[in-house]
Amino acid sequence: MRRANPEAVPDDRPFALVEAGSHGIVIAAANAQARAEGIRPGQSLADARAIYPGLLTRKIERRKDRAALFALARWSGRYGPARNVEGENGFWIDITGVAHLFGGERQLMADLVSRLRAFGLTVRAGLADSIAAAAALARFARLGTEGFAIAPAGHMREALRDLPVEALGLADETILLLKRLGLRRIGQLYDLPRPALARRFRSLAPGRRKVKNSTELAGAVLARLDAALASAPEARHALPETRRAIVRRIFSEPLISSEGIESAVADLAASLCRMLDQAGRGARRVRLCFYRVDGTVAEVRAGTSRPCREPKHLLQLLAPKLPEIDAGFGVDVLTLEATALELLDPLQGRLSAGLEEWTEADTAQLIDRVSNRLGAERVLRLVPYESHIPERAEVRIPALMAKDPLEKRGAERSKVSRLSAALLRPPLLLAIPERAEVRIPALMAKDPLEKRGAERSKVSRLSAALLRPPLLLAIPEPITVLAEVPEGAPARFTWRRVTHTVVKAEGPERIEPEWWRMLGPLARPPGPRDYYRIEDDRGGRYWVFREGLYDRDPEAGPPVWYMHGLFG
Amino acid sequence: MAQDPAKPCLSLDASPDTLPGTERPREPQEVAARLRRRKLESLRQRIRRIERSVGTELEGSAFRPPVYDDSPGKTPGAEEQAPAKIVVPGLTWHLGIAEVDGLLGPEGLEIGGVHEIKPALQEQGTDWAATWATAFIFSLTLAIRRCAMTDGRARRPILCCRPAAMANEFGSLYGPGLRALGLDPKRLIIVETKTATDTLWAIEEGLKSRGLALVLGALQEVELTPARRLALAASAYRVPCVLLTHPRTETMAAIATRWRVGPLPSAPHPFDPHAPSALRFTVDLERCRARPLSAETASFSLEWCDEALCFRLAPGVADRADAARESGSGAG
Repeated sequence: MRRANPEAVPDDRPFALVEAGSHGIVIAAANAQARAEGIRPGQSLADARAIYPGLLTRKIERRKDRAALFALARWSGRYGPARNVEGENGFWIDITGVAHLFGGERQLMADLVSRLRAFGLTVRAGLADSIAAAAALARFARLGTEGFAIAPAGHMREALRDLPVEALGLADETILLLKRLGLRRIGQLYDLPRPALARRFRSLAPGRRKVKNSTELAGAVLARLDAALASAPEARHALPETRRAIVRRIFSEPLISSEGIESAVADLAASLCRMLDQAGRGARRVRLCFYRVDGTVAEVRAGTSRPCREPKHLLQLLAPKLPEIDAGFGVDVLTLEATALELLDPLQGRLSAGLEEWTEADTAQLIDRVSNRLGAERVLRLVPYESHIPERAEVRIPALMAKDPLEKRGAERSKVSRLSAALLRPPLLLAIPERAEVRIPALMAKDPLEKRGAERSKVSRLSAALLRPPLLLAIPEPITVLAEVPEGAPARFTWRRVTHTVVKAEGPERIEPEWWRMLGPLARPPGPRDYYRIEDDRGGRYWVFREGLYDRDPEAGPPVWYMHGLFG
Repeated sequence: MAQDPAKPCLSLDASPDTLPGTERPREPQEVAARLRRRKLESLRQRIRRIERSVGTELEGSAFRPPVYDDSPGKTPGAEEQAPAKIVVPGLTWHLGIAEVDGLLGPEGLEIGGVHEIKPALQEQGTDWAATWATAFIFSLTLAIRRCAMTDGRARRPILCCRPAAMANEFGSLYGPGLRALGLDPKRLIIVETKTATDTLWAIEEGLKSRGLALVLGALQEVELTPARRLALAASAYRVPCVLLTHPRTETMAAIATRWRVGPLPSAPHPFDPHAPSALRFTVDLERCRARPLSAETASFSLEWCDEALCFRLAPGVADRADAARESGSGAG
């Protein structure tokens, strides 16, 4: 449940999440392999490392776990409207009146478990008359491979009889008292006279002051027991429903004609935008659903690169996709929902909206139109990434996702960094084109332009004298070197079946692989690269590199040459 | 658009002496001849405009009178500029070399026009990729020149549309390298389409949107009708379009200029004789609206200066440069 990032967590090796405890770093959670080695949550990391030295660890991120748990609880709305997070690592769903939709309780549970497992989660599920009993079953019942336990309705006493008292979800102190009394199973509490429990607690408590306390503790035990046995109602708050920005039109006669649908969509867009206007929001994603007469649903999605509540623009995005929709025997109901919202303060309209006027919204609308027609992955912006490996020094992210990099802040900053680059360039390099830049993480950071102004200019200053080609091959292509000069650029080479004679060459620029990314077992670790900028006899300029070294490592074989970029 | 005609004149008034290539004519006949030539030039431009505006209502509104009109009462310094030599920094789109810019007419490269760039024809068995890359980088440098202008639109993003297959074959745009060339990668919006039809659609959509400084496209070929559509969109919305097409396919219709670009060995590096130095191109101006159709192709050897972000004639290739100078002064 704690795996937000599955790639970072190996499944085949002992792995644990750690956190800072009062006496040093302690294990917060461990995977099955680690538990098999004897590593337990609560152990100190030093002890765990003593048991298994190769233990991989990562810092636990409780906040993110919590957020993920809430997201999961929200997702589970398909199994029942009332649901909420339960404890540290569970959630409950009230499936009253829902089970028959799935064909029965067993089918519902199987569906739930298989879907959660498909997320890569380890799942234990329980179904009972009360939330407390279901939680007890889920956490403590013996489960088969199917991963869930169902207590038959009205037979809670039998179902819970053999579970340990911990299953009632009591405080540690109370459980300790119960165990001292020899009450280890829930079943043992059934026949106990109710006032007797408080008396017995009192007998164990050391001082007189605890009289009141022990009554409370006994009361808590009984309350939890009643709740679990469903003999007393238990109040649980369900997650508040998030307000959805959705508008719908129901037609008395099914719509078939495309004109009818188009005008209905225009109407929906207008009313959705009114709704968003009142809420002060703008839509980033919209979904248009067509509920056909025969019970099937078709949907159309569109996204915008900045929050939008202009009906005209929404319609422009949706309209090209409408002809693809097969109305079938007609459309009964149309809904338009804004599935992702962002704050959008009202803007003042421009007084003179002439041809020369321009706002970022104009560019954003173009990006929206092109992205929605060709696909978001085909409209890209270049965002630098902090790496010195050339192909990793930049990521291409869909323009729909990227924040507009031409915002004022960014422009100023780049001016400054360019100035600094110009000032700090060593005079010897003046004749050489400069300003290669290696920058910022984009996929990791939520906002690609937020934090790293300082870092970026630092790195760009460092790499101010680096040379990079404007055109880079996504995958370096092997070239055949015909005349090799040891520790130098090739004199002749063949690339794409054409032979080039090298006239001029500059280099090498050595780029070492990023060792910190090669911690896992690798088939063949990449060697260092020596880059050369070469020019052939016709004036073509290329960026080639040699991977590996001569005579360094006989096992790795001879170095291999690659073509990586074109300078034109 | 109303403020446009006034702008260039104002800046000329302000700094007549700082203009590059300022020359005092000696003879009154020479002045008269220049005035006549300029008059002819402006008339030619009007004819061109009228020709182009057929079928577009918007063209009328986007009409921009010639920059150097023969209106009396101007400062004599501005009046006596030879059109071939006038380079107003920031207000026209030009290459930054008098010899080439003289051929393009006083307004430089047309803002509301389609400019076709074709890689130079190569003999069989030579490498296409380098030639393509050279031509593509030349079109990027034109984009950089466009960004160097000071009008309001030059600060907007640039749209670059290519079929994805082409990007895979000739390399994808790479930010650090673009930065070295002089183009800020943050300005780029890259579109990589599945088909050529999609590329054409995206280019047209880009021309029609108001939010761009320039649209850069690369395609195998553009048919007659789409070429006409692009030309109309470019002139109606006054967004320039630079199109790179395959060297062996048909040339495009309705273009403002056509260039044929090939690689050229670079000059010796000043500090390292073995290293390549600044980028060089062989550039042939095959067609230009400012020149008569019968005008022969003008050839240049250009060198891109990535610090001043402009071209200069490549020195050291004496014969070519001389030829270029001759043809440049002949047309001006």
